[in-house]
Amino acid sequence: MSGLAFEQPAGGFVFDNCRRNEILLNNGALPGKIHKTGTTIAAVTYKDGVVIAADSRCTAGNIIFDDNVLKIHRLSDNIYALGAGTSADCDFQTRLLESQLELLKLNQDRQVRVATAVRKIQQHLFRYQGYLGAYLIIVGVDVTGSHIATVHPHGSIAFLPFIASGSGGYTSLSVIEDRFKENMTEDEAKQLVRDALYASTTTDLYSGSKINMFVLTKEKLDKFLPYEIVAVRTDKQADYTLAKGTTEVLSTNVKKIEFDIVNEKVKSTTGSNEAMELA
Amino acid sequence: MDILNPMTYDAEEDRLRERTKYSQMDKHLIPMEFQQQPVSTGTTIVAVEYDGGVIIGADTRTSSGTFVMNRFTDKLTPLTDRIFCLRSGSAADTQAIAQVVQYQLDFLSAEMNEPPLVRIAANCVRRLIYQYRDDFVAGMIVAGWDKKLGGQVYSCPLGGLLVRQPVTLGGSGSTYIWGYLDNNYRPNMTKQECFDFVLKGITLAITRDGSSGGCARLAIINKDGVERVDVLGNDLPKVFDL
Repeated sequence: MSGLAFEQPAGGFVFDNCRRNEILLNNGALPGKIHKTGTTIAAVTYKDGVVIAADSRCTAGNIIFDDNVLKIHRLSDNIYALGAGTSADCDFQTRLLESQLELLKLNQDRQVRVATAVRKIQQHLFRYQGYLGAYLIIVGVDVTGSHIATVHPHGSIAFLPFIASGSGGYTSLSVIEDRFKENMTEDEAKQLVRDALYASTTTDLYSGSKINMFVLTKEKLDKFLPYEIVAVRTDKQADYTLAKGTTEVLSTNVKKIEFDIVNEKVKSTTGSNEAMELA
Repeated sequence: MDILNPMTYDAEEDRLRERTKYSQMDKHLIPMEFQQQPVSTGTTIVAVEYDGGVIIGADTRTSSGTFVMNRFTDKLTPLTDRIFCLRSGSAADTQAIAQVVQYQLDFLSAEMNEPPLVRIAANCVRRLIYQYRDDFVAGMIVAGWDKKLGGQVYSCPLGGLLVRQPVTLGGSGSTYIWGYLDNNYRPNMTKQECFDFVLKGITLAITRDGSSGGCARLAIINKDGVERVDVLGNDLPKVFDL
């Protein structure tokens, strides 16, 4: 049999560039710094279910890139995930997990359990040996009760009564550690989580803007988007619009620009949405 | 692997830190304050046989570098109804091994139509550790009861060894209590003496080892089942604290 056999690409990551990077590093070429987004995410169980909250800031270096990121991802009607770490990994892995859980739910004709979601994502992340930088908190309410679990990129999990994660996670955790009790009421739990997020959004540079909160029980899902805006933008102190004539016009030059019509498209702004193509 | 200087449990922590060659890049790319260490159960685990069963125990701390990720971990993972494994080393690796072995033993018990032997469970664990010895950082103890040989304790440390011992220690905290073991262990102790021995050992290790802490979780496994005892922090036996 002659001819080249078509080579199926092997699955998983290709690490060839890592060797190149090492050589570059040894020769003194410094790599560019990556931009960490920073986050605070927290989850707390209470009498009837779970309360979860996240900040909404995305930073690139010292600049706030996006003020309104939703770090709470839906996995199923009764299961949600909070993501910290590499935001691309969090987004895509949770999306992948969401579709897998939907298929499973249709297949087994039952509500999906939190333990199932956690086991699936754990085994997936373990396969990638920590290279998918997704620090997730999976929360949900199912037939066995309400659960929250933390999942680390290397594939270790832990089911706990309360969890806080992200760059501001340590601060949040100390607030929760101080005031957490078993079987709190919904208001107590919401207040606790709000205080925890408030502490880290005000102390951690990389967390802030809004506090988004979800309350998940067997019967309901309350979304508070946002629950609180931490740093409210104040009104402008003065009127900065400039009067016409502030800039002196020195000279005026009017020129005709020659152009050809290549394509014309007529689009109706009301009624039908179809565009008519001419020429 | 140096034959004359084999790896001790101390080296677990060092191995964990210089994880793989590729992640050396992370040190330059990621700013210092965001670098997270892999989660390890740098730990203390103890298991001892007595006439009729085994007593196993562990501390409850899981750390990531200097941060305690979980202060009430359960490192006593059931493999079958009467066989438990104690996990030390990388949290992710040991959880994965335990899950795979749980499945293998479940399948085996369906094939054989009887509960698996402790030695077989230990061999399943050992096989995985040996096969992936360059990638896994997992030191495990498999202990349980079966009809054939009664209570047994098997040690499956880092490289992929399998050895049965009447009493064994594991984890980074174990280095501090080998002397306690040598001085206080006698063969043919009663169930209560073994229980006190395990609990005291864990307490002493928690007192001295930074990677061990929290509470002590113990379990007594015999033909009647598994009895779990959680001894919370203030109930641990008193040790003279300087």
